[in-house]
Amino acid sequence: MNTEIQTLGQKPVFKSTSWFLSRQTTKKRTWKGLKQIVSSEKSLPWSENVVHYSSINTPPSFLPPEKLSDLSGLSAPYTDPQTRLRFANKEEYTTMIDLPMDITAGYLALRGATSIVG
Amino acid sequence: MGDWEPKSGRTLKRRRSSGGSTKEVAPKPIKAPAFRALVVDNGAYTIKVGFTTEEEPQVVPNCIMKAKSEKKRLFVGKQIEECRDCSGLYFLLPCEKGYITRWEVQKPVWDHVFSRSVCTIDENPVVITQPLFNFKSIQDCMDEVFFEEYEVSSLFRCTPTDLAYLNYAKHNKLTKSDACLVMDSGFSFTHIVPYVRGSKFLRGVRRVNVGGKLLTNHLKDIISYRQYNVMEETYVINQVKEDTGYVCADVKKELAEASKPFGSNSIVKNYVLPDFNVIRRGYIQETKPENPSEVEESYQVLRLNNERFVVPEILFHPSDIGMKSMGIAEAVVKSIMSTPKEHRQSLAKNIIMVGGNCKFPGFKERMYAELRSLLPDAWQLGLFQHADPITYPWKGGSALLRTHDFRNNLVSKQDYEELGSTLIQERFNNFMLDSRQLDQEDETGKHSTEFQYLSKLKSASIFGKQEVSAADSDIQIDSKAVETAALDKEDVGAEEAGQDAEGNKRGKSRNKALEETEVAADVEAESSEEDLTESPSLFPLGCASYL
Repeated sequence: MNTEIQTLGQKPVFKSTSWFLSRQTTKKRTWKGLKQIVSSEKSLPWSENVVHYSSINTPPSFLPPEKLSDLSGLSAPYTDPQTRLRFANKEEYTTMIDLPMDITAGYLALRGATSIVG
Repeated sequence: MGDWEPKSGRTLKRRRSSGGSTKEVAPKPIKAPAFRALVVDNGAYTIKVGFTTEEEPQVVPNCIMKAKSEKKRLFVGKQIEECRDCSGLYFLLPCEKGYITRWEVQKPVWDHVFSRSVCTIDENPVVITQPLFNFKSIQDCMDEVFFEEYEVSSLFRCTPTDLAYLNYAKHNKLTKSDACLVMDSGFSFTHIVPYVRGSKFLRGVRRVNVGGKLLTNHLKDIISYRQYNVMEETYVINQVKEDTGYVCADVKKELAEASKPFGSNSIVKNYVLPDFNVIRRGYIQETKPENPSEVEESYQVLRLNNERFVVPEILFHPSDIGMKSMGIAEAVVKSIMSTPKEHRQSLAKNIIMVGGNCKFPGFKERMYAELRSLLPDAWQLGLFQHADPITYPWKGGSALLRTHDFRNNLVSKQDYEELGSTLIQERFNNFMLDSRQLDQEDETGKHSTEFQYLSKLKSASIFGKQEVSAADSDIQIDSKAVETAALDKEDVGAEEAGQDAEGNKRGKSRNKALEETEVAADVEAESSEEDLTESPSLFPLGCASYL
């Protein structure tokens, strides 16, 4: 029996040039999400010299972000102090002041300016 | 196929890596490349697949799609070509930020790719790419899928940047002394990898979490706020991005131009959206027709103005959308500056840009302008971008087969069964990495000498003042070289010299010993060679497999 398997090992007979359907597994496997994988990797005791996933992230930039109008995307010199939205001219301002709260919040989220501090 | 043994060839490889010869790939041709391999560049958005003997790969979308028009059916990979109505296409992507996490999606796509409709594996070895620093659990899973489900005869994994580098080195006949920097700006992220002395310089690797996916999503968001709600139309908006997006030379100037009224504005474009009835794919409407026919009037038109260049601009300034990260140009400079001083100029001369984002018009020019302003004036700057940056890494597959140690690194199914995944993953992950160990040794050696050097500062009179200051400044590598040279020459009886020389000797003797034992060398021996990080108590799962 054993020897037979070994001779078969040289060139598996189950291989045909055409595709065969790989075996179906019925059991449902759940996979870890990326966040779980990253956090479990972070918790490993890395020594100082080792480079890994989290250590190759780029640091923040020195350059200031461009100030763009939230409504039109044009260069925006003004900021509305109430909603913190940026606008380029007075026409934009007139439409802006009528916007409901949820829309202004959406605009801010779009450019990632939701934090109160920033 | 069966004419080569995976282990017998190790001799060649060992001698090469330990001998530290600067010669590139063996001058004598290693057998005719009679054997071909299936190269799979497994990108997060498209899989580039084909045999090394072929000229061009096939590009298959790496996703499963659901169309609104055909609710019953799933479209896997290339099958999307059969779909008539691509509106409201819903994507199931196997990757999360570039790392495969949804295997229930990836598996059917691979089934499709390796089926007869695209490319069968048969008995050929498989080379598949993975992102840099791929996680151990993902690699385990890949091993399992390929060896146990597909039962491939042999497998090799490397990063797409390796392939791009090899391709570039082959075409330009680079030697190992030429350093090279690969920037891979893909769907999920942008990796910047310096190659020094023919292998990756890990401490210089940088990742910017901006890729094509983020750009498409952002465009989708801003169009939804400004014009139509297109939140469901990822597929169409991705085409809009590809067709109209460009990278501008100067944002300020471009913004001023964009604020002009419609008639006198050279940027604004009307994009006719596809209706999947008459128009299969959207296009830019060149001029507004004088007397539009009824059909033409019914077209839905998207007006794009500053969106065209503001979106690709995120690559260069992720802070525009509140990301706390530097742009790709800055990151390239950062990466260059983190390498040893003697390689920096060479790196700046050989910058290879691959990945779909490079296809934006003006990308290369902008990159050049930014880098030119950030790098020293006297340095030569050379950017290389192939006409098709997406398939460029794939084309490096044939160059990979010709590298001297490829066959030794190839893992056969037998190896997998005997050694288990941890050991074979080390083989994959240490590919093009041999100088990493050297560098780490350098560094530890440097630390110890520096420490002793300071403690003996009063008694050691051979060290001049200049050298102290040199050691303090950031050019540590140079100073170290000076130190060792001085120590070796003058042969001071001090402990430092002894230790240093001993260190050197140890290194040499280790190399010799390796050469001697290499015929019998086992893979186990190979894995147990190196430093601290190999110790099982510290790294129960093996540290190199994370790299």
